[in-house]
Amino acid sequence: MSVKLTRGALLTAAAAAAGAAAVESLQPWRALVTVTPARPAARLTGLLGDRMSAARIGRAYLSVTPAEADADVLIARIAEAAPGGAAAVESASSDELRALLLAAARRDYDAGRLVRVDGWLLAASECRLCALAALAA
Amino acid sequence: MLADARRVPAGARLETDVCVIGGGAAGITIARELASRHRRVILLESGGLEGDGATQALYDGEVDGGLPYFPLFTARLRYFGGSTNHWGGRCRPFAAADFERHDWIPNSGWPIRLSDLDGYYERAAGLVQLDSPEFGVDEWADRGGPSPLPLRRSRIESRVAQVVAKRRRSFADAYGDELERSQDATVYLHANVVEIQSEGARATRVRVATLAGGRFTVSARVFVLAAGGIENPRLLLASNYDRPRGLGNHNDVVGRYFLEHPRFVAASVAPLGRYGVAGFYEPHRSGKTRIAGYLALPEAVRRAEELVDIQVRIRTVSTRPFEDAFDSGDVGALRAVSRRTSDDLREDVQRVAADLMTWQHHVVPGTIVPVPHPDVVVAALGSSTVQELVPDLLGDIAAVAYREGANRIPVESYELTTRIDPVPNPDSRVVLGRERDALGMPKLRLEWRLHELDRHSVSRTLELLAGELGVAGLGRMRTTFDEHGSEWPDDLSGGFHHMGTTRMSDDPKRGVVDRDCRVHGVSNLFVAGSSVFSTAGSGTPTITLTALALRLVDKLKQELA
Repeated sequence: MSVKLTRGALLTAAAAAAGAAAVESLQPWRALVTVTPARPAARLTGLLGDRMSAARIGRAYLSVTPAEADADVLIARIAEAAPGGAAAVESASSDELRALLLAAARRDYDAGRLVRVDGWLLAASECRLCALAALAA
Repeated sequence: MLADARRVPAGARLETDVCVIGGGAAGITIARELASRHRRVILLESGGLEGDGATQALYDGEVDGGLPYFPLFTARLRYFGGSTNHWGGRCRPFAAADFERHDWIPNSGWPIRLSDLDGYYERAAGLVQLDSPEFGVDEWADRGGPSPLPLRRSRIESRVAQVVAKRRRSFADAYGDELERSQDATVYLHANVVEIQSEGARATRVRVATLAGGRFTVSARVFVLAAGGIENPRLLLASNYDRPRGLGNHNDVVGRYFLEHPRFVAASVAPLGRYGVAGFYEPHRSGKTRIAGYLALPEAVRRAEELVDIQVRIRTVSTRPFEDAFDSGDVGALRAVSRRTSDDLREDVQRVAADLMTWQHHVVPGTIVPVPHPDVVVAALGSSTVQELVPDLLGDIAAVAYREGANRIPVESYELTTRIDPVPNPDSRVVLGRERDALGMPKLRLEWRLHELDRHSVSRTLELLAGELGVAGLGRMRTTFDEHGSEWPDDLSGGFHHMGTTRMSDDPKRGVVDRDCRVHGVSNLFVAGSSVFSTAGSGTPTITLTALALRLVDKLKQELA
């Protein structure tokens, strides 16, 4: 019995062959391609619904605390305030991260860790999250 | 009976058992309680049954050398009933802590305790015509009206003041007929006392003048000065014919320690809910009684932080402020609106804060129950975090439920007014001025001053409240009050409360009257009214001065027995 080659089958076969060949040709370069997890700052600011508003608050915050105009510093201080600290923040999923940041803000309000930004009395972790947004903007 | 002093023959010498000077809440209370067939009472009231400009002008004076204040001739009323004729009606008794000495508050403490007013406050509540002697917040929160904010009571407490109905506030309206019918008390209207004369350690007579030119005297066994917190010291200072410093003033205390309840708009709160949740803090009906709530720090927090008592009133500002302000033509409202709109960050803060609040509704992976269920929290975050997170999350539940069930008026912001129970400051005072009034009496000059602890207490109280509002998820606070600034806000004003100028102290170097309200060094001269207050207190003056007047009545009955 003979197999009739259809046009579609031929195209499919050709694509597969090309793809295989393409992948084959990339093999030497595979070692240079790494899948990078989202950067910590982006993970945090990506949770914000309104980054522009956050950035404006963040700029106001950084104007009174210029020493914190560094993403690593801000992230470390945000993590300090969160339950479980840096380890919990690092390993948290997006939803867990939201809960941790909310808890950090609440802890700051409870402990009186407030910052005055243009007259607003805000939790330090809220301000730092906004500052991250300002740096990213 | 009521009599017109302008018809008393010139040079007349009237005699009585008790001469009460001043027909306000204290004077009327003392006159009606003491008058009997065994005790004759003459009450001398400067004004008539209605106000008139010439009499009111006798209250004119200067405000100079200290903080701005209302013009003195507008800050009180000089006719029968006194300041009860324009009283706002708020009533709340002092707390026990108001009478205690606190190491961090200079000149604090009374020589009496709250327990010394046992029974008198209940009677005073009847005289000012309150519906109930109850002031506990739980008593009022369960009567079907708006509820207090769900704040942790260990950090911020809600308090209640009752508001007397306007038609019941004037003591003249309430008790004038009774005094008119009395055969044992005579109220002389249009009778201005210009001097208290004395011989040795006793007051002997008062000189009375009318604007019509009449002059006469009243002699009595006992005199009670009840002319108000500014007029009482004036009369003592002006009674200086043979005592250059004035009567009862050998230690230069008369007129000092002038106290008010200063207040100003200190902050606003950007809410996280669409509808108002602070209705409890506006005057409203609870059952058949009108009440108004306010916030303050509990005594334990105040002690730990070493603050004076700051009360925070909340006004809900609904939307469309521009239209309201322009329609009303109210310059103050327009100024407030412009302050708000110059705040570029307000909407940003609301959006970010609201964003954070919505995160609690995200589902935690691996479960089918949304956060903030406590079991989910335990499973997702580990037991070490539960103790920290669960109270916050339960607070969230309460906050969300409260928002959803609250008043449906759309809210733009909450305006916070702080009212201070200030440090008694001897440099805050009234003194005799250089000018004289139409009767030849020296006018007064008011030098009103506050203390740096008052500033710090406002600032710290706002910070603590901001924290609690954040924990409860109710909003974010903005304040422009600077504790370290040298100026007070432009809208700083008083409540027409004039206190402390003949303060109570067992030590004649620190007070004008003793614990029985007797003037030091003058055995038959007593003072009634808010001028005897040693501190301004966390409560309101009228009910407290009425309670003190009733206590003085019992003392005077012993004196006259």
